[in-house]
Amino acid sequence: MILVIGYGSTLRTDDAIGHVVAHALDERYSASDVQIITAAQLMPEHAAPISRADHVIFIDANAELPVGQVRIAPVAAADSRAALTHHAAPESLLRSAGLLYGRRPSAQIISIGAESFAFGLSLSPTLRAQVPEIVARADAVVDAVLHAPGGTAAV
Amino acid sequence: MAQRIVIDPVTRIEGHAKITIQLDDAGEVADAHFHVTQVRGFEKFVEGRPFHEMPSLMARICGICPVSHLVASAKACDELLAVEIPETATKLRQILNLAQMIQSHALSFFYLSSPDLLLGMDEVPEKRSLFGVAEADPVLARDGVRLRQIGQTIIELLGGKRIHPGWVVPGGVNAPLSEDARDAMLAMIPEGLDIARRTLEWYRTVLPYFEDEIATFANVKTLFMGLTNAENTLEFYDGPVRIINGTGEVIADQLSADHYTEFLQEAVEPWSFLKTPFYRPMGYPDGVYRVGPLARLNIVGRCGTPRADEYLGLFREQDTQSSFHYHTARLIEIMYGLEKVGMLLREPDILSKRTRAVAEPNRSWGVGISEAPRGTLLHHYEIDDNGLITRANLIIATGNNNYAMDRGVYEVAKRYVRGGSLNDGMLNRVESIIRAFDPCLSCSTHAVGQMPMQVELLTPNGEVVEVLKR
Repeated sequence: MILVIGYGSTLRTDDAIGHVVAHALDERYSASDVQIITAAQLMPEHAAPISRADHVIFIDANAELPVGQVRIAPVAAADSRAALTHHAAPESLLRSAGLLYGRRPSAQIISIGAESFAFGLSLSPTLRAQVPEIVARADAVVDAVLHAPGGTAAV
Repeated sequence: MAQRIVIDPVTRIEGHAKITIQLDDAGEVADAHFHVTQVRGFEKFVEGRPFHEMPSLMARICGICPVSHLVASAKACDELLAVEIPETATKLRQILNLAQMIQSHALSFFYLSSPDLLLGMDEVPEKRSLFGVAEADPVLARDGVRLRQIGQTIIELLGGKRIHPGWVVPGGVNAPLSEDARDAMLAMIPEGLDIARRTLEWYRTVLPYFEDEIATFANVKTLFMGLTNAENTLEFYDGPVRIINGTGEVIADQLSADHYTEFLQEAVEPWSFLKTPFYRPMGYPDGVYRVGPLARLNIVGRCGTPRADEYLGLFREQDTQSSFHYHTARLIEIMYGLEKVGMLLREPDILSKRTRAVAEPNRSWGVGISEAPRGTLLHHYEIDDNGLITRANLIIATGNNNYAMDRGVYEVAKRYVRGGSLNDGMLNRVESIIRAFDPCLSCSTHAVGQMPMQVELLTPNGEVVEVLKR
């Protein structure tokens, strides 16, 4: 099972892009293949569902990338002592999944360049126009994992 | 030359604060203060807003305890409507408020303080985190995650979402409880109770290692304040205010929140944006008091639920003045909260569809009071003829403990900081006294733990003579 976690504030315009993409993927796959979580921020509690997944795809807005640009990168478990309080980073969640539940899946993060993090309930027009293309890229990532020879491996 | 030590920011708390320790010429601690360095301004910018927006607006004060502000705000609005809300709505609000307490206490104990309690104050900072706890005692760490999840799931089942649920409204709640949601909540209670008992039993074995900290962590004689009820049991939702002194003697009882200005006053100190409330008849600082888990357990006759009362008896076998015992009190309240939520969910009318009284404003002012995880919380609103807010005054739970935290820092600094030199164990104890109160300073504006710990030794002229960083 692939777990997709789209996160960010839905009250901060483009910060909601992780939710938008996750919901779009939710309509394309069955729950037995792909499970979707959306959240304002990553929290230690997410370690439990992460530990049950074969592969995790984090989706988040990125303030440094050009707007609409998609960067796909692997996520390695890492110790970030400051980050595991009431919110967490993808790396520390992977590590805590292994420490707490004995299972640490492979993971990727899809970072999406955002234009605005101002207050607002909708994406900026620039990013909104690129949503179909962004969803297609994310869809390709999910599809590739689903059909990877030998599947994915948790440690 | 006299020096000043600055700990900025204090880590593993909710929000931003700093600590300064003033050394004398001999390098001994002359004074110390706890500074809250952020200002929010909610009381001012809500002026002119329609009163019915207040619960949603005020919930935004905090991302950790929005439910507490929702409840206190809605209760103030109930007074503006001059209605008695349906009994079922009261019970549902109580469950929500208790779930908030459970998840917040779990966050405080397991995520923020258990690294100190399990690994010790002198463990290296790299180990002293929830990761360190997970490596040393995975069951403890896993229990903390699960317990917080239980509290948050109850909030989500009731309010529709974990953070800033908009379900609590003036006059009640805007949707009844479904049978499925009730059953899902009830199903989690036994596991939560097992975790609470396991943690309390573990913590009892750990406490003897902290005798020194117990003796010095704001072990001061202050008043205690909290809500009570006719049964003299723990009360989180409503009821008159009780104030006791350091020897347990009741000095004021049956105080109505509507008349809070007659018994509470706020002092302002130049070193902090956080105001210091005190019991008005005794003046400042003699009238300062503590609130929160320790105060609540000290002012009541009993918890009112069997398992929590069992541990309350054990709790009272020790001196309950030390602020270090906020930790124990928090665990007992988690036990109480789980038991009480179970009791409320089994009430025959809990699924009633009558959950909201609808009315126009019928009063020009209203005061809502409740117990937040960190202590007594009060919202006071005044409106004009159009229902627009003309004045808001909030007494936030954390603010009530301001004086005790400040003096606690001084006591701990005096005990552990010597000769003008510092090490991590000393620094952590100074921070740890603040953590024991679990202050919520930021109310969600900033994340905790992302900034490095920096300690500066300063001359009276502000010249940096030494910098320590984590």
